[in-house]
Amino acid sequence: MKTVVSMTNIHKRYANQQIETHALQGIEVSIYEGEFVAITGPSGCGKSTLLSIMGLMDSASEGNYKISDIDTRGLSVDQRTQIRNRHIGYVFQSFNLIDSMTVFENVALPLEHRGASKTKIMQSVNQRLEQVGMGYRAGYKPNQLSGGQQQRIAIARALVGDPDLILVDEPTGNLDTKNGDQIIQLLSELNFMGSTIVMVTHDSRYIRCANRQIQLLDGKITMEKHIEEVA
Amino acid sequence: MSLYQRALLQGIGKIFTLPRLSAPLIITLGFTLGAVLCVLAVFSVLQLKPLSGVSKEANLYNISIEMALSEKLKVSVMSLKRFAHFKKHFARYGIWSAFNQSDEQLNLNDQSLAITEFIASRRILDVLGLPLIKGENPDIEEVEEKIWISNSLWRTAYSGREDILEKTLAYKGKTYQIAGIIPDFTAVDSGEIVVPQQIWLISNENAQFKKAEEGNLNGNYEKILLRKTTNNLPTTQQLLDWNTQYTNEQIASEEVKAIFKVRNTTADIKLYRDDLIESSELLLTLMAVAVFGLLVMASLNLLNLFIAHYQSRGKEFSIQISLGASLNRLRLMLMMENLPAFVAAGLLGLLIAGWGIRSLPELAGGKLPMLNEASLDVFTCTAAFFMVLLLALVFSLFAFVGVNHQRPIDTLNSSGKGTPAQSKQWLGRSLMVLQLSLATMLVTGSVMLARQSYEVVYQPLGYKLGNSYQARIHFNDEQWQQSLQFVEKYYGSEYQILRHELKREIETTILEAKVLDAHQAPLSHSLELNITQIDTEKAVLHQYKSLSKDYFSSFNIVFLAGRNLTQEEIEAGDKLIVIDERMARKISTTSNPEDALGMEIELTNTEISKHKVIGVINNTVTRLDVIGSHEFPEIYSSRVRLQRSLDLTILMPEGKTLTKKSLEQALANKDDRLGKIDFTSLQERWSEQTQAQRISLWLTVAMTALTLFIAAVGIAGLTQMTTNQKRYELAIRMATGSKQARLMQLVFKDAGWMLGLGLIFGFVLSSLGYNKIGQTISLMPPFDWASMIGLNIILTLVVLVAVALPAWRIIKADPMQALREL
Repeated sequence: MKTVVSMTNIHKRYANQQIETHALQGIEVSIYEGEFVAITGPSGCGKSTLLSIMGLMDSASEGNYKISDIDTRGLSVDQRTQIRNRHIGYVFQSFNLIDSMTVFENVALPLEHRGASKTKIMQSVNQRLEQVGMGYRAGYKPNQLSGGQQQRIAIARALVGDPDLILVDEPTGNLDTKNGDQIIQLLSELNFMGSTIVMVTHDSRYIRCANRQIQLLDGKITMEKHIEEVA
Repeated sequence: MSLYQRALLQGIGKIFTLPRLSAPLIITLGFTLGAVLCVLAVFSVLQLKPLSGVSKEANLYNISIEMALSEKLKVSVMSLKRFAHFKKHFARYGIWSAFNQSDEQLNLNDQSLAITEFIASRRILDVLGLPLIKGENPDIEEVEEKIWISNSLWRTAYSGREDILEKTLAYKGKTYQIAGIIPDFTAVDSGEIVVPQQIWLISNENAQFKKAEEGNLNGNYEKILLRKTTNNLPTTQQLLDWNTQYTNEQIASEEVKAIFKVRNTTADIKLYRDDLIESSELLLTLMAVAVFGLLVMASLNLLNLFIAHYQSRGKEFSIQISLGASLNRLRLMLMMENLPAFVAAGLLGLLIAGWGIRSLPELAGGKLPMLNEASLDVFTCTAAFFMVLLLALVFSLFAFVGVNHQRPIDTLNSSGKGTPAQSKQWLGRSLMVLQLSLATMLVTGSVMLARQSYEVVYQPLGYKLGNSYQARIHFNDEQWQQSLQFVEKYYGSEYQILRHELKREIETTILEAKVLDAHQAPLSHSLELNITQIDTEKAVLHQYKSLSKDYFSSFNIVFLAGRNLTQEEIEAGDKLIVIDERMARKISTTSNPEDALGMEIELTNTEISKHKVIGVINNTVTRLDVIGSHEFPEIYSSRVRLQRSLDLTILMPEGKTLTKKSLEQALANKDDRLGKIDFTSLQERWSEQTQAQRISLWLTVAMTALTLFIAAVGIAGLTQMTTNQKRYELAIRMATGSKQARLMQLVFKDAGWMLGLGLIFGFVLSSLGYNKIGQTISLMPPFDWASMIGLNIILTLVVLVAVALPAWRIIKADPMQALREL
């Protein structure tokens, strides 16, 4: 199976005035194509930091990180941005949609930044919106939609560039149970169709949807299990 | 639609939907760009455009030989006769010509038309390279009865009639045959507005060889031109040598020789364009520094506003970055988004510049040449385009000050309440310190210049203008005029009787009018200078003025010592004079005016004779536009000397107005040998002579106000932004019991160091820079510490108000509401 993520001895330190926080301490993780990995742990354990480094939204203080066999050490901001655009789809807890743009425009952004043709954009965006069940809301503005609908749009945006890896940070954190369940259902379907997903969650109910669980505590992996074993 | 097209459309929309950003941008940038473009248009005319009415300017030189009458007043020594000799002497260097120019009025078909009159020597067209449009070249012997008109005058006043050469033109009491049409010639630096409606009167200098040298310095050619035909030019020493030789050989008058002896004479030779723009360069540089300073200030101000705007969009930018937008792509998108507002500002700037350029000739009052040629040309429009583009580009470069592009997740996770939102305030604050420093420097320059202009406009004159008028009556008969000049005794002479009759007619016809028997009013348009020998070594150049029994009392001129002449002494022609304090100091060894009484001064105007000083008056200001206020001492005599015209000073009671029409009616039966009447009130003359200073005063005051306004808006914007970003902190402080006064104290403390640093930098740079500039530019008034301190107090107050108002608006809000909103 193809390795999508390969992290070796990842450390992350934050220096704030005189206090240094060691958020990640020697993380070793490999994620393979088609996997659905859930990263769990209590607040402040470093799971979101790990996801940020995985999504090249932050960089490690130490260690090696490869995504789709691309070594990310020493890359410039623009190079990291380009990798993010081509290989990673990111779903945020707070959706992070741009309110001044329509749903269609929000979803089209990764392709537009990639310089895709108008036809390609039209085709891909419509396909992904239909896939998440939001095709009929293409002309709406995000603030005209419910939280669940906004999260679906965010997922469509993460999918539209056909990334190798989809990173999902607490996707149900801002949603009620019903909408949360629907989003997790949608992610399961995407994984079933072949998407590689890494999801950070603190909600134990949704862990069972993943193939593998990685548990963090104080910046270290304390448990790594396939879900079948957990079950 | 591509990202850029969408950004452009969004930008157009934001002009209307985001007025708090677009309105300051369009208005502030539009106005400052307008000012910058005006200066660029003038620069384009002076430096880049071909000179209007001149061809092959690389071979055209201007020669000047001038005598310094005072520190500020220099006059050309080139009379018609002198020029004839000069031209002959230096003929080997090329073709020579000379001209003089003045503002005049032409009465045509019962309408008065403002024109420029040129009096030139015969080969003027060949020297300037002007092609004759119609008629005959003025290079002919018989030029006395002929007049040439400019193309514009022909087209506007005569509708371009083909039979123009069959027409005559009545001008200044004489009828001329129109001999030709000459292209408009406006590339003249004269201190007066040169209009394209022009007439040319040609003098035949060959006729001058036969005439005697009068030694008169009136009406001399101011511009001596050489169209070089060889590789050589005369040196300044050769020019001066010729002048000395001519003075010694041709001038008989010992008085004129004495003037040349005591006064410094200088000679210069320059390319015509260099000479034309030389005096304008300093003014243009000062204008450029001022308007570019304003542009930088306005840009810093707007940049702060944009940084605040960008910070509020930090999350949006981070989303774009997280989705794969490169920084340059985002910058370009932002530039496209900003471009419509910048283009709108540019268009407003062009509109303002268009209006400003049209008003420039009036505003500059002839201080800058060729302003009529200024327009929104390709250079100015291209400059506007590039400035707008450059500013839009620079502004887009500052887009990511609120975004951590290394770690966009930080911005995405930030609530905007805590320290991350305030972490980049150093940039805005640094820009504000820079802006305050710049404001201090600009306002310093403006205030110093404003103060200088104020002191000129509101200086004590030494008299009261009152409700007084001056009438100048021209002579139609030149021979009669000359015969009136030479009389042994003024009182009882034909000239005195003529003046008396005119006085009687005016006083009889116009009720309550009082005519003074003195040639000039205290505030004059002309200057009569004489030289008097105090002792064997000391000669004084002074003004000669006439007095009457009631002259000094009518204008409230104070006697410091002695008295005025009585009517009996005036009528008897006693050799008694009144002098001013400056003259008293020249003749007396002490500073006590009393000591000058009884002393005798030798007057050399008509006959050399001693005159006894019987009174010393306070110093008065004669003419403001060409000389300094107190340059020439004054001597007042009872003898009213005749000049080229007959001048009458008329006093009216307060509240009564005298018009030219009523004066003309009063003098309807005057002698036919007297011609047209020029008429003005002294108040009008005062306004006219101080026009440049008053315009300068208003411009500098406006500049000061604009600078303070921009600084205030900038500070207010920054305070609004920083206080807004601190709302969460302030709300928590309020919720935990902090008083509003304490919070205001916090805000003031925050703004205090910015203000302090800005003022200190500005203060140091202004004083150092001003002294440095003052050493090279004599035009700059001396540095005034009192003004500087006053100015800093005003700036501090403006800044404190600008800090307090927006901060208070935020602080007075209900803390719980603020916490709920955040």
